[in-house]
Amino acid sequence: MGTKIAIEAQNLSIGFQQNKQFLNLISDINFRINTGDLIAIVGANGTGKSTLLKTLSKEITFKGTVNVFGKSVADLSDKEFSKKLTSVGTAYQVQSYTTVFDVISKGRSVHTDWVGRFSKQDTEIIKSSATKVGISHLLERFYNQLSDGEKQRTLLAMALAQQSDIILLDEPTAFIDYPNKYYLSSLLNQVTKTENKTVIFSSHDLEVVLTYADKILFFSDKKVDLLTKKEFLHKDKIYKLFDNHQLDSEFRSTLVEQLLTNFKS
Amino acid sequence: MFVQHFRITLLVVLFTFFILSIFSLSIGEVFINPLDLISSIFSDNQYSLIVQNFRAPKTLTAILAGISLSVSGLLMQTLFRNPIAGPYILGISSGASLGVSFVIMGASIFSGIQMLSDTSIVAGALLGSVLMILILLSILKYVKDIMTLLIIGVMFGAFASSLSSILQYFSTDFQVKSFVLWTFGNLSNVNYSQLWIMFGFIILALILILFSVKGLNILILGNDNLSNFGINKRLLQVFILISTAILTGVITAFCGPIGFVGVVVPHFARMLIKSSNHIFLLPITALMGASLMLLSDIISQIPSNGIILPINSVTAFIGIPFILWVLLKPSQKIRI
Repeated sequence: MGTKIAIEAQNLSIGFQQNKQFLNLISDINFRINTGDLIAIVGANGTGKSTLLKTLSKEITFKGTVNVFGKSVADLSDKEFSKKLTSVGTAYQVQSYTTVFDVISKGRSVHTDWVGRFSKQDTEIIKSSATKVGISHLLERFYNQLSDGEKQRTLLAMALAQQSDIILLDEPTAFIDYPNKYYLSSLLNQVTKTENKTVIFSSHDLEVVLTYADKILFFSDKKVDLLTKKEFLHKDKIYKLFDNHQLDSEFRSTLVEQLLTNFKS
Repeated sequence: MFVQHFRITLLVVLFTFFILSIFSLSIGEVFINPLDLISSIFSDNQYSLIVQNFRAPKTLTAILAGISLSVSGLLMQTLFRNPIAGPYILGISSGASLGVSFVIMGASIFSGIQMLSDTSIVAGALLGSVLMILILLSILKYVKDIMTLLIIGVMFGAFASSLSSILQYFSTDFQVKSFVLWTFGNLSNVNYSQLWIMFGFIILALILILFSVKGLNILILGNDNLSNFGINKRLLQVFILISTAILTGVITAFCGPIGFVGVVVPHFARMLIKSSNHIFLLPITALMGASLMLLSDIISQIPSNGIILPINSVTAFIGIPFILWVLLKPSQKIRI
């Protein structure tokens, strides 16, 4: 399994389309992410992390170029695109009477025929994805009856079942308890290393990020930088994460120092 | 396990549908017992004329209307993620009503011609529905959020109703009565050639729906990013809107606006099979819709002595308590 460039942004501007105008949130974003990398998106609230994830998953319009395995996403059909990249967001309002199996099975949608019939292989992949995230005992349960953590694991299983080369996840560990948070993060790490997939996830949990991520896409000052963990663990960078005028400056400095000492050790 | 549950449910629903169809053909001014009924279909007896010329077209119309309205209700509830969305949420019935208002009332006001033939009423309703759906499709590309389309549909519906009210204001008592009678809904005005037209359109819509099943099953996730699952969102929306428009427009044109069946039946179907998968939901919804229409038709004939209650009031009479229950029941778990 050689290393290739999985996803690449060139002069990318992210933002929102309002009427006929494109409102820039961040411009001139450039990065290259390799296959087999687990990338964490880190930044304060409102800096554009979810907007970047939505941009990379073709959910919203953008300016510039996004290439997936060397092909511009603009040139890929929905079907071709979804075989290469899958994205799991945070807002799912699943209809009643939808089982966990049903939800995970949506990941196979792109591999099925025109009415969506599953082969034996599809069913096996759905079950093994559920087993990977530890919810195989919940397959018959209705999704709306699950806890927030179980819902999140179901969505992760759906993403795994799609078997795309790139997986984008918006705060996948947000509602998950401690043991599962570490289990799932190590699972993501394992998926990138053993299956040569690329996983990009946003998170506010620096412990998880620094334990498992290979690199960090850092959002600050209307800029996006792809950093190594060593580059990220710098006083200026961490300080920017705490750049909030509501926090007392002395308290902020103490927090940053403590964090840096902890993480460096 | 689920497949077994589904098969049993399907059998029960099919059996109910069959019994109600027999009943619908049997009752009327003259009660025909089921054995005579079957022989009147296959050979000539004293009931053949009644069954073949009057009751069979009405029963078939009820079946087609039930299938069309309940299936389009299911599509609208899934598309708009709204438990009380129904076939008329897009304003199609208001468009049809406006068309009929023009035929019944507008024609005499504007040109002095009395156009009261059934064919012209059907034509007016069809034109009104088609116009409404063309407006909706033409604005679809400017709509970012599908909920906006819902609001626009409701607003256009209100606009068409207001125009219709203005026409009523300037009309004679007789014309207003003709219009009101049309809004009551009627299953007995359809002949065989019209049934074939209805059937053709419904088959066309069902084919479009078959191509949308995969997309409908993704829509139940309640996430807008359909391209993530390899589904072309715009194409899916167009397919769903066109098939709903065909189903609703055709039924409204031939039978008048029949409410509540389309809102109520999809809920019944989901509860019964305990699944949101449209492959299973569609046949159950269609069969239950047909059964409910047949039941409404049977109930509408209860007063006997030649009195037949307006079908619309019967469906509302059955439908409204159910909708209230869906909305107010304490363990509200229905999320569409």
